[in-house]
Amino acid sequence: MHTSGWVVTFVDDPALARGAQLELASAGPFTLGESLGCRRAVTLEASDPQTAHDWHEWVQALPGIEGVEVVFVHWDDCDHEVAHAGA
Amino acid sequence: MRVLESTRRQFIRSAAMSAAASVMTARSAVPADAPKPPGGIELPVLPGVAWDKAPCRFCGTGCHVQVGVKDGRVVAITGDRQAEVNKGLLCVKGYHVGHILYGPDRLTKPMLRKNGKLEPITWDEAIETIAKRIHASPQSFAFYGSGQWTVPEGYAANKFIKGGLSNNHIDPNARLCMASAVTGYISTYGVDEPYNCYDDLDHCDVLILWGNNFAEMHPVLFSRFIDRKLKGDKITLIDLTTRHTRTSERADHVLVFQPQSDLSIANCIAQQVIASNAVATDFVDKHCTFRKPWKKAGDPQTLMGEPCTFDEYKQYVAEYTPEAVAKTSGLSVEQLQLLGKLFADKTKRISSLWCMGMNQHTQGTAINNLVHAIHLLSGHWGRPGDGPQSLTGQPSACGTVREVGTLSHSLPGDLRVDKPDQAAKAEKLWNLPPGRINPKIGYHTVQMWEKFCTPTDQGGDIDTLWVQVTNPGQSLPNLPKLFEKKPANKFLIVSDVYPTATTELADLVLPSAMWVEKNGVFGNSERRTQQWFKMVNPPGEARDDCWQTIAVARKLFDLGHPGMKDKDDKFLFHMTDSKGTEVPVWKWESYYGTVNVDEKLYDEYRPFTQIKHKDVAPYTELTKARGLRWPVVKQPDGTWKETRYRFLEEYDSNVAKGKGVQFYHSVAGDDKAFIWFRPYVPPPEMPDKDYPLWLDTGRVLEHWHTGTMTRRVPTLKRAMPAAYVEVSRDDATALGVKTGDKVRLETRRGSLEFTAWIDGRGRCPKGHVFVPFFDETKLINKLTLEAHCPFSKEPDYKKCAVRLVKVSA
Ligand code: SF4
Repeated sequence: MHTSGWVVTFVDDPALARGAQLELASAGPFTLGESLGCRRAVTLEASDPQTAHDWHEWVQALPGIEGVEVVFVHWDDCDHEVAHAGA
Repeated sequence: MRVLESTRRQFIRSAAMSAAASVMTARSAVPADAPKPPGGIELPVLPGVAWDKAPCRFCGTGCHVQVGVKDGRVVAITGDRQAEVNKGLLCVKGYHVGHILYGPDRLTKPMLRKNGKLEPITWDEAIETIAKRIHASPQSFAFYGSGQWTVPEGYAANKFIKGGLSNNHIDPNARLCMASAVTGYISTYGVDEPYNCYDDLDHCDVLILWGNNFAEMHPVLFSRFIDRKLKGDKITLIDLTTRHTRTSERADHVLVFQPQSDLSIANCIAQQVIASNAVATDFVDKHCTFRKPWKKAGDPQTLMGEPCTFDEYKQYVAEYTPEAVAKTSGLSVEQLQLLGKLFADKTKRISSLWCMGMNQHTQGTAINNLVHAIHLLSGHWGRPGDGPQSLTGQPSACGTVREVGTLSHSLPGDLRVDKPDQAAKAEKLWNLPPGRINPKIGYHTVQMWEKFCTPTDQGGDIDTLWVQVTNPGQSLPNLPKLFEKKPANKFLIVSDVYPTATTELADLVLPSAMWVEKNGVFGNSERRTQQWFKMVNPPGEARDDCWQTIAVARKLFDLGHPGMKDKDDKFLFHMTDSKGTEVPVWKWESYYGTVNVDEKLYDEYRPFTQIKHKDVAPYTELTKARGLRWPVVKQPDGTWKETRYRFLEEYDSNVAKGKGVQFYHSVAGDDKAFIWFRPYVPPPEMPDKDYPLWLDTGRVLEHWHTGTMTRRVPTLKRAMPAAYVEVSRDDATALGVKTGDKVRLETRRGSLEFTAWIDGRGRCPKGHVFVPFFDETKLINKLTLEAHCPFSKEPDYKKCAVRLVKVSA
């Protein structure tokens, strides 16, 4: 399991930002935390680093998202095996 | 079991959430240079996980991470919220940094090439093999190091070769990335390294990027600047570039110029500042003098040049009018005037940043001089947010190369081997007999590899070359000449963590420990010295590079090499424990024993830094801090204070009272900086009818330099799997090339096939192609040119002539 903590920054268009929040809330692996101004703390639980990366790309591409910053990553040993297999 | 697992998951999730929430809070509210909260910031609580600080292994930004270790393995990474550089943020490489330790093909045993094949040998055999070769011919040995060497590693290598072997053939890969910044600083201020720091990003009104793809190369610093825009600050980003990049997407003005014309653009700014009576006369009169590069125009330029008057200077830049420069630079008159007006406007704070675009340049020293010059001339110098600053690409290019002096002419503390009084200072600090240090400057990188690749009977007088912490088989320019021609009887030793293009040709491969598998100290781009402790063991028999150097030195000592002893017949790396008993640190079992070898070496090095007021902090202070910017000065209450801005009385205690500004290491000894004129000089190779395009090379966000580490992180590898050639839509149409087509690039050095990408990650202008250099399966440096700046000796990887041929759709 690969768990990460993100700071998601939304654009300053309220409608677009709301749309992006809804998309995030309804996507399975995210937990939405507190928000401050145009930013929100979010966690992602994914099966492996690659899936986490794919979600990252998905969120980055959503209309209403200004940027995504990953500030915390925890991975289990199985992730190393994934890393080994893929390198 | 399931309940336990679910509780564990909750723990991890809430740790992730609290890390994100606190970074968010910190970024939303507090300016980056605000004091740290008392009592520190709590780290995520995770069962069985111990946290410790370390700088990120990758770029010169010098972000700090907290590394989570469980059962001897790195299992978590979080941005360090106590670090002023990044305040908890990391880029995509930074948050994957833990994975670089765990690639499946880590080197774990020393290997010697026998009958063409690398075969495992013992460490004793490896160390003896190296020592015997050096003992037989110390002067034909060379050491090729790195801006990724830790400070103690570089210091030990430097002392070993310059203080022990009386041989100056040591040079680092940083010669290839920031040597022009060094010569630029020295010939302007008399001493190397920026006077300012990243705080400028928080205070500037205008940020000008000189050929620097900031968004991909220093992404965390870029976020720090863009954050201000998000908060509503009225700030302007100007991207002076030869191709559109991710940085251009966020810029207010994208000024695409012709390669090499940056020299004319800088002179054009100076011309306009003078023409609009905007010279900062008071500042210039008090703190600057003018400099021309020759006695008379047409003579060869020199590094330190000749004095000239303001009137002469004015005459030299007079021809660089916007109208004249618009004809050659690719910029319009209006774009050039935009720059001229900005520098003429005293109300704005202007920060100039640069990295490889200005440094990897056959006129690298000149363009560095000119950017300093326009800031000094216009008075855009000395206020926070108002000045020029170079950035580095490697984590310790400043710390280990510039400060420790691992370049072929230098000694620790900015001393030079060819200045007898300075060499004598080093001999004294090293307790060596007078005259031990050879006054002849050693080979710089291009020379060193040329000599190694030339047969001995044809003048190739380097026979044994030891490479540590770098991958020249991929990063040197013109690889067919400087690497691939290695004669069979020459001996290449490579210490590394993974197989690379360099180990492929190596005769002896030594497995190294990396990053948090060893103790370390780095120095980042803003004079910040950063320390970390070993957290996990290296795999198999991998060992520290520094230990490898000391073990070879000891073997030479045992073989009777006189240089391995100091004046008192003690071993060059003599270390004692708290009781005064010698610790045999050359034995691996003792290396992490009763002494901290890093601390011992660092403490020995520290007095060197005091010679030119670059006083680095005591090791014990570094263990508590997220890096400290030198000069670090002891306060009356016993605390240590870092310096944000040098040469300014308000910040720098080395400035004499009442002076305001003092360039206290100025070239002329008059406390004044030089305002340089350097003319436009054409590049040595330009597109012509046979090779009609410019070839530019560089980096991408996902991969760090030659990709040795980041290509082992599956996510990063998949995100950017292979090198490509970026082609402009105009050229692609003319050549009938589409995205995905196979094309061949041909230069006078060689040819290689790539997949074409039109308007992809970046956008080249017509007549220009770009290839990243991270991919070991497509070595673009087989095609690049080794021509270099005459002063810094740094090659130009950004411009040579190429033709593109379509191979197949
Ligand atoms: S910006 Fe550089 S130092 Fe910071 S996390 Fe990214 S690679 Fe590491």
